[in-house]
Amino acid sequence: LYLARRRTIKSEFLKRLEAVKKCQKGTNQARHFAWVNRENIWEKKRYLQERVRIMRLKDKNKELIKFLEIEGAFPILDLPDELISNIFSILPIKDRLRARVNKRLDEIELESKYELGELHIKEQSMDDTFESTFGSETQIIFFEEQSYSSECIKRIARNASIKKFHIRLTGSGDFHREVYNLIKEF
Amino acid sequence: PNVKLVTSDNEEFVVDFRIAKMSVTVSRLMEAMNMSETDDASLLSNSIPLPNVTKAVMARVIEWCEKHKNDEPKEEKENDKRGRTTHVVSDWDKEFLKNDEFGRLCQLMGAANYLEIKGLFNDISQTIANMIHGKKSDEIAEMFNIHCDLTEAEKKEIRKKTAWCED
Repeated sequence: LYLARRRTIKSEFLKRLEAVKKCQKGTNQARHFAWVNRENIWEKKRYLQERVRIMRLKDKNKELIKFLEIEGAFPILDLPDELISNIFSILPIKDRLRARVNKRLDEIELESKYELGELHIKEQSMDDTFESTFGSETQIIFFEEQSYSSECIKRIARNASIKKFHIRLTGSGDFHREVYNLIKEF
Repeated sequence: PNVKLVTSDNEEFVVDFRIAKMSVTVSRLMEAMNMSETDDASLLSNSIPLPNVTKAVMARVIEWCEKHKNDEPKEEKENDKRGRTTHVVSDWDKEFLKNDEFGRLCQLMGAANYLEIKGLFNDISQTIANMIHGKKSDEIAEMFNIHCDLTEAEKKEIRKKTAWCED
């Protein structure tokens, strides 16, 4: 039994040796091809492993996947304040006020200029199907049914340069009084 | 006549005099170094260092300048009908900026600002503004990967104060 095992091991060894010799005898091109092939297989394997990993992540932890996707996100906070401020200045009012998603952006927004040719502040009933002739960029519409804070108008009044200003409010509540007072600040 | 520009990572770009002139910063530097279009010797012996711009970004900037070198210096329309000062991004520019990753776009904006190339700077600003336009607060925060450092109470406060812009 021992001898038989040795013989099989020996024959195995000889086979391998022959294979190696064959490989060595082969032209450089053939060897190169083999090498490229092996590389490809490795590439493929890595790719598959990566896919499996991502699929597992997808199942287990959707938030992690989200993070992987977000890695390529816009590092807008890397920009200096004045460049961010410039972006704020060309945004429509609504987008601009909505974009204050952290403290720094909130502060920058507060200091950024509003360059508006026209500004319309008006009040209307929610039932009104009002066809506006102006873009929503220059309009602020307050619905009569809801209560508002004058904060946003205060913000605009701080930094605005407006050519044409149109305001139509009819109430006499606290909110209205505040807005009337703010007109002086424009 | 050509001008040599050297980026922060010591890459040398040889560009046409007219293209170099498109950057206010570069043209100011050239003036300071007594380089002129007619004086080849001064152009050959000097190179302009640009320590705030990297090779990759510079290549993009020059690509943009090559395309726009024949543009007439157009007057920016002061205000359009809707009232805002808007900048119309041309189709070529849109295509040009589309391929940039967010991070690269940011670097490009910084470079355009530093080099004072107004057209490119406005293009990028408007492109970013267009990305923000029409998105909700949460979406904006997610897009820019901004960690929200406002407390729930502060968020509520902001939302209440600007209720009309949240719909």
